[in-house]
Amino acid sequence: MMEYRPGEVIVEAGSWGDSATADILRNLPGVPRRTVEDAGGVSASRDTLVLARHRGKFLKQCQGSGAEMCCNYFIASYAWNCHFGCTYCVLQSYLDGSGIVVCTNIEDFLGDIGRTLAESPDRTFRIGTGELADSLALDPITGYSRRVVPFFARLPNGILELKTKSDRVANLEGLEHGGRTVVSWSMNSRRICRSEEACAATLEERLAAADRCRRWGYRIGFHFDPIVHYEGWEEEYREVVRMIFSVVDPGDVAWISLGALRFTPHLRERLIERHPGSRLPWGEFVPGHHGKLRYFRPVREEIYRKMNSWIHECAPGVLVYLCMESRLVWERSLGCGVRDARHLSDCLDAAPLCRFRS
Amino acid sequence: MNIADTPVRDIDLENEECRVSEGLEPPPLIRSLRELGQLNPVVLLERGGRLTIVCGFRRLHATRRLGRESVPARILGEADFSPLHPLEFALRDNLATRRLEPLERARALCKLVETGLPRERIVRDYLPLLDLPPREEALQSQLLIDRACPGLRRCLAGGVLAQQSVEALAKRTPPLQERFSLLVERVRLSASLQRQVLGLLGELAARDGAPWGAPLDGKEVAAVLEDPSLSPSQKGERLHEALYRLRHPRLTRARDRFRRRERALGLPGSIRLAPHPYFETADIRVEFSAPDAARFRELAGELERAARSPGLEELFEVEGETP
Repeated sequence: MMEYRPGEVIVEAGSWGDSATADILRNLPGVPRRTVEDAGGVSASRDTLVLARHRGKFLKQCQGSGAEMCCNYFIASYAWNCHFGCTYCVLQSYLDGSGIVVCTNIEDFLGDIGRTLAESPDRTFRIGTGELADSLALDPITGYSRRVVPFFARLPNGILELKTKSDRVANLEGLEHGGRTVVSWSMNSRRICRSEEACAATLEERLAAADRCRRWGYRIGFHFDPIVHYEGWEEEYREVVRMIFSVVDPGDVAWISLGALRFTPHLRERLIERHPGSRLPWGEFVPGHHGKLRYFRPVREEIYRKMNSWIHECAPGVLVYLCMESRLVWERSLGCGVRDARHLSDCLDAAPLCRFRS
Repeated sequence: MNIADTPVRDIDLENEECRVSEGLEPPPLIRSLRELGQLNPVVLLERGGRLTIVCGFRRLHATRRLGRESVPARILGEADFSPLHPLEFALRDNLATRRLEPLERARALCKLVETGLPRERIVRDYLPLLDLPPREEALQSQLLIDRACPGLRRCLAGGVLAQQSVEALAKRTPPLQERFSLLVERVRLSASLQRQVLGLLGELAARDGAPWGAPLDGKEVAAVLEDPSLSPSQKGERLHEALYRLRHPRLTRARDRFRRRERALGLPGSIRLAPHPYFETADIRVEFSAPDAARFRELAGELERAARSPGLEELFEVEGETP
């Protein structure tokens, strides 16, 4: 994978008082740095690392909330943007031009999560840090996993998901995680990894990292998202499923999610403009939820049905779920294993803490 | 002011450096000249012993057509136009009395660029004068239109193709431009359908890795074009439909199958069954209107009969659409 090495670091003046700032800069010797009063107006490429204080709430509900079969996920962000530049990634249209931003008031991040969870002790919060940035790609620079993982180990009603396409897991070794951190990998077929995720870790690198985490006692997650429908997709995705279970024991897997390729019309235009060789925009898409373009329903159902069967051939007990799909698609592709959104949420909340029998 | 009766043979009619007008011999002008004579002098530039036209291209060409040997002309030297380029003079003269046609606008801007005038000045000063937004992209669009092949220019002038379509087509090779202009002379496409058809042709080319416009050679399009029962407007709609089918084969097959199954239920035409436009849900909306209770009962009876039909379940299925 491509290591992130910024060409410049911009430090917001207020960040100099945060211990994280010094830690991060220590990991970037020789990189030019300058200070700005307010990083909010900074316009920069991904080559620039911006260290700034985040002033709002850190914890938010996933945009899927309110959908018919929502998994009730929470997003917590301490970084924004990603240097992998995967062709289909929504961050390209969402965070373009803002550099890669890392918040330095990580104590406030932890405080916000701690307070929110304490206010609702009877509720389980599954919280991911990989929605607006890769959870681990910058970890060699920030070292944040060493603060966040032990913090979650002490939370009785929190589950942390570190979602990544990297293999930068070294900081996770030896941490007291208490079984409350799931390390997840976004997976794709070898062809799509090569053509659309060229800067991310290879499939082998991701799986080797997953194997290390498994050995350190972490539960593992996999997200086949976005699944791309192309001629020959079946054999290539099936190969990845086999690869996973040749490395990881089904009992180590907390969950596997499936999501077929979807994007906003704007992102599709950007993809065509920036990656003219990409085959992704040329599938048979129809407008769907929130105006996003997605594959025609029978195509998605076929993808999910087949993926589910291949996964369960290798690992019958593993929890497979769909991201932002209707109950109809759930029923037609996965059967009726999950009754409703509440049941789905309960299953996922419990998954990291119990081990499925293979 | 130096106005002289000038022999037409002394004027370089081939030099079109300042030409803005598109059609050079419009019949109304010829008629006017024949009946009233030339009321306003043309403006000529004297440079290096030669006379070239600045204002009055159409009047001069019409005069020649009428076989007249001289025209009243105001003859100026280059210094007389300063600080403007003679083309700017011609353009402003035209704009003082009329609104330019799209092709004239494109031609004027292209020639302004050729004079070496700074692009920023053209964008800032001339695009607003021509009712265009003062943006570089707007200038680029106009330059594309000016490069369009004769067929496309004809279609734009005749209102057959929208400016946006000509702009999109002008990026293609001249043979493709000509081909499309011949096509739209046979089928009528509204501006919205033009945009959709061009979009579909672009998407199909990208999806199939085929040359742009390849589907126009296909049997589906040929069948539409050769159908003598269709009007040009109907052909336009069918052309769009044929291309949409190629781009969305599964969706259009599902729609066809739904209609077939709907027909098999034998419902009267006044009852309309509408699925989700993209079959995202299995829901079917049932619509009918009845002017009185009797008709209502009659239609409700038809629905009840359809509800007992074994084909009803199939209507809710979108299956079998995966390869």
